[in-house]
Amino acid sequence: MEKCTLTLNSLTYSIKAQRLLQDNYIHTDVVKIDSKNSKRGCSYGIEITCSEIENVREILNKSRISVKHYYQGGGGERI
Amino acid sequence: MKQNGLIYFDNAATTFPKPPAVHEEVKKCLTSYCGNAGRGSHSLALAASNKIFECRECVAKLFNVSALENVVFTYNTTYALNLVIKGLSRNGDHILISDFEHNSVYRPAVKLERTRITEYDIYKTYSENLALTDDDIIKDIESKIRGNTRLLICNHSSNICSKNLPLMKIGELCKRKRIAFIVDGAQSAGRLNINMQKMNISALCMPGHKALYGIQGCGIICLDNDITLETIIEGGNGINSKEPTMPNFSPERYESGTLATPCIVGLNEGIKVITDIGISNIEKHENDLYCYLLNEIQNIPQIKVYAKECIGSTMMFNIGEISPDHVASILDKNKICVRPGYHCCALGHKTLGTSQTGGVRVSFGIFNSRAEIRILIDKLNAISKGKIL
Repeated sequence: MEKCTLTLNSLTYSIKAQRLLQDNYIHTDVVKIDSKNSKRGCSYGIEITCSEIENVREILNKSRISVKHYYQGGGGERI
Repeated sequence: MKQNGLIYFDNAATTFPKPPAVHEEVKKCLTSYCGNAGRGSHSLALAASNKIFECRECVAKLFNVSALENVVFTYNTTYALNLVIKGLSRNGDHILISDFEHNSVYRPAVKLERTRITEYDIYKTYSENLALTDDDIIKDIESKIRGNTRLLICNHSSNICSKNLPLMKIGELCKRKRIAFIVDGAQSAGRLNINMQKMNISALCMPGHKALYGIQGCGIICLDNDITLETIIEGGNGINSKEPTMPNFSPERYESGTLATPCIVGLNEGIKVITDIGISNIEKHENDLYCYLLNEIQNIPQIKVYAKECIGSTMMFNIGEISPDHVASILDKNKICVRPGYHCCALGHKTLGTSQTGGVRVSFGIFNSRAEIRILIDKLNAISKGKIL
């Protein structure tokens, strides 16, 4: 299964997103974004299965969790 | 509940003892998961972050905060109030504070005025030895609102007596007048129900270690969605590290430096304990203790109780001309902890007419009982009659 990574505002938002998605039966890992993919310095996000991306975006949007960046591939350090 | 053979009546300063679940979790944190929350990516850092997240959720639920990310952890209430008052004040603003504010509000207001950033006025809640009605408080506030009034700060419950201010009515007024409504919940959070959204509160500041039963070292700000504070402390927060400025979103915007994880996880357990008991039951229990003490204490010769018509968890009194410190010292020798003096509340003492004397403060918590009050009464009786010195 191909992995996609969403960069979120902070670790607080990443945990919030993880719990929200968990309530919607979507598995995520909270990850620290690889330094090479984080222009502004230390960043956090969630890693999901790429096939879930539209569903995930919609759920996060509804909860006003903004996605800063999105890229295909893991690239983050699972935490 | 006696602890170390002591009767503890200084819960307005900090509650004691703490529920067992609180120290158990603090110990567990220190021994098994106290990484630096929001820093790095190892398991301990994440475990600490998850626990702090849980506490944000718990606080948000208890006070009906619009979103859990609007729950900001500080180091105490004073720090929280300073962040909010100074973070919202702009040049030329006018601030309103009550006549019962603690020095953690009064001193920042004075500082802002002396540095010519803002001006402040004091609204009345108490006059001529009697608490004003809610409507009279609102009238006095309305008479003092100016075109440039930007903040109104309200001490929900006094720390020297049991005067409570009408948050719902003041909140409605502030909403109508577009004034930010700041509540100091230092004495009320955990004792009285507070509903941020229903009461139109812009920022609620409170301690973790008083009636929320956490340990010392943690304060809380709950912000309304519309509020963004200027930061007065900047530094590392684990994100956007290459940026020269703080992020524009809560809570990280306001949480520079390492958070007090052991205090926050203890607070989480403390909130669970009071939630299980029920805030209304806690209020009822402490009101009952107050009424019992008031009923008994009035029979003691030379006793003067201040603002006795205000029922709640805190009572202040004096015995004739005996210094409050002397009374407290005698009680201390008899293993009863109370607090004498001015309680960091110059305005409140001025309002109650005790600026020259101070007073003896007794304040209750969930573990106090009528039996303990009985012992206090006996000792006060003996002090009043000169039988113990």
